[in-house]
Amino acid sequence: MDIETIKKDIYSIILQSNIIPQDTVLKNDTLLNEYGLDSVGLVELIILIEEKYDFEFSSNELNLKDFETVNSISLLVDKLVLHNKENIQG
Amino acid sequence: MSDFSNDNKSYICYGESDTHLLNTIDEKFRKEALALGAVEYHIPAMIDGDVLSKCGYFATFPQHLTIAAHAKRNAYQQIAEENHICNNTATMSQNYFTPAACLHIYPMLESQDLTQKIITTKARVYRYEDEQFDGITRFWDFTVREIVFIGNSGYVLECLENMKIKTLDYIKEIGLPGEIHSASDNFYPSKRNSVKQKLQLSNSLKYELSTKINESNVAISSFNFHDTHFSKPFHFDKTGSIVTGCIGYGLERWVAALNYYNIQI
Repeated sequence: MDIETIKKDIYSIILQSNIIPQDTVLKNDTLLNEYGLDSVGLVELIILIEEKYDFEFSSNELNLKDFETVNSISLLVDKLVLHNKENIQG
Repeated sequence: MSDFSNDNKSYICYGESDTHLLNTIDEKFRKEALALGAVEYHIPAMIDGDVLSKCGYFATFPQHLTIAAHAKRNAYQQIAEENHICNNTATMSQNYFTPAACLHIYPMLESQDLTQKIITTKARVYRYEDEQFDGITRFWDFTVREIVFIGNSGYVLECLENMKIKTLDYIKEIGLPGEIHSASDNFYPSKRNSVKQKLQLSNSLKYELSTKINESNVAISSFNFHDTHFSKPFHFDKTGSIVTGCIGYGLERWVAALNYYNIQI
C-alpha cells in the first residue's frame, strides 16, 4: 500500500464520517481543526482509522501533532502499517 | 484526634486539628490562585443531569456517579416506621452529586466572549469508586480546592506549569515527599475511552502530584489540560482558540499525607 492510497483512504474516512461538516472542501495540507474537527471528532477518527487498517494505536502513538492534517495522518499510518507488516513478516 | 469516619469509611469528619490542616492547605492554594488573578465562585454539591451529559460524563465515568433520591410523598408513614428509605419509598431525581468541581463552572461561562480568566472554588465532590473506600485517602464524599484556567492554549498550559512549580516548591518547603508525573483518568472501559486514555498519555494532558502513604502512591493533586472539550459544547470558544485546564487539590488526601509524615503547618 503506497502513501497516495493511504491519503485517499484518510480523505474518504474524514468526509464520510460526521466529524466535519458534510459540504467541506478538504485539502490534504490544511489543519483539520480549521474544518471544525474537535476532540470528540478526533476520537471517532482514530477509531475509524483503526478499523480500516485493523490495528490499534498504542499509548505513545497518538501525538496530536500527527493528527493535524490528512498528510500528517497518512504519514503516521504509513509508518505504522509498514511497521506492523515488518513485524508480521519478521 | 477526634476525627470520625462512618462504618464503610466513605466519608470523614475532622476535629479541630485536622480541620486546621485542611483549612491551611486550602488557604495556601486559594491565595496562590488569587495571586494569579483568579476570581472566586461558589458552587453547590448537586448538579443537573443535563450538565453532566453535556460534559460527556455519563459516557466516560459512569462508575463515579451518585444520583439524588427523595422520599415519595405517599410513603412518609412507611419511612417513619421503618427508619430508612428503600427503593419502594424513594423517587430518583434529575439531580446528581457533582463528581468534579469544575463541571459547575462551564455552564456559568456559556456563550460568553472570553479571552482569559481564572476561577477558583472550594467544593464537595462525590465519586463512588466501587465502594473501595479506606477512610484515609479514598472517600465517596471529599473536598477539593479547584482552579480553572480559561484562555488560549499557550496561556492555559503556562498557568498549569506555573502552578506545578509552585506546588512542588511548597511540598519541598514543608518537607512532604512527592513527585509530579504524567497520568491518565480512570475512564470507564470502552473503545472510545481507551482512545481518550491513550491521547491523554501520548500528549501529557494530565499530570498528578503523588506521594507515598502506607506504601501506596496517592495522587494529592491533578493538573489537567482539557483542550476544547468544555469550551466548545458550552460555546465560550467563539474565536476557535479558547481552551480550558484545571487543577484539583484533594484536601483530605493532603491532610492524610501531612499526618502520615507528621508534618505540622
